Amino acid sequence: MNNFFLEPTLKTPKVDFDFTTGFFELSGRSIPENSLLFYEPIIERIKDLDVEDLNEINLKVNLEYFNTSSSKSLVAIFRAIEALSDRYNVTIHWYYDIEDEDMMESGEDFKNLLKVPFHLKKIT
Amino acid sequence: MVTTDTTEEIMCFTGEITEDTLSDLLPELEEKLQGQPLSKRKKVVNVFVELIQNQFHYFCAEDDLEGFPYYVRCFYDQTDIVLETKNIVRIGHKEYLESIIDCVNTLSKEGLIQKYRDQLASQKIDSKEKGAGLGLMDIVRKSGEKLLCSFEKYDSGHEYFIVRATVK
Repeated sequence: MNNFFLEPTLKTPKVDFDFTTGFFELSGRSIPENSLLFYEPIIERIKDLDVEDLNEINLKVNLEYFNTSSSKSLVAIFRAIEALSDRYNVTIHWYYDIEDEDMMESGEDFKNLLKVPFHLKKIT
Repeated sequence: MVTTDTTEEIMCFTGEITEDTLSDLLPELEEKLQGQPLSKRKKVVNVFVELIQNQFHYFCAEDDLEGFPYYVRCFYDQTDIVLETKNIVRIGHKEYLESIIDCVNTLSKEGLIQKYRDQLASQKIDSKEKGAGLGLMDIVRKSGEKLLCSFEKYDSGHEYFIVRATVK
């Protein structure tokens, strides 16, 4: 399965999914008007994931900003990751700046919806 | 930290709101907020993004209306930062928008968080719905202040829709 990488833009995050190591990263800002156009291919890749010799999946999310449209897509990504938990050990890591309480609260919102390990990590 | 004792404009854009408007305005706004603490700067940017995209969502572009003053403004009011948008919506959207904003404004902080989470949990990724007020809830959560809105008659089928959010 080929790795998946997208450069960040003013409105969309960097996407770096390494299917060999199981380390996935979303970072930057996510404020597209229609987030589904951007996130659908990513969600499909996650749903199609089937890699032998892979035990763990770690998704690191480190967003500066995200809009309402993206929040729906993030839920879909997290649920797609969660659906893999019967085959892999999955963990989601939500990073936020120590001064950014809103981003911490957003992490808590997502954590509240999920059953997989979801760690909130301060950036100091 | 940038403060002022009077009302001072940070940014004002008048013209058609398109998908590119945000990309055009955001770098300028971020530049002008550089002196603000990170938390406040991010709140303002978040509210700005949601207001512009809300305006774009509800704007009745296909109705081919002309010559009206739609705008996005951002200005200091003492140490607060106020963001205001004005556009035109179909009269059918007025009741919906009013009811959502009234509802959001009456909720406690905890009630708003719970409603937001319930709404987020029930969203479908491919839904064509506008999010049932998720963006408006997000604005109130981020700003921590009630969202002010007003409507003024434009013609028999349309209303001006003015929204104002304040970040303390």
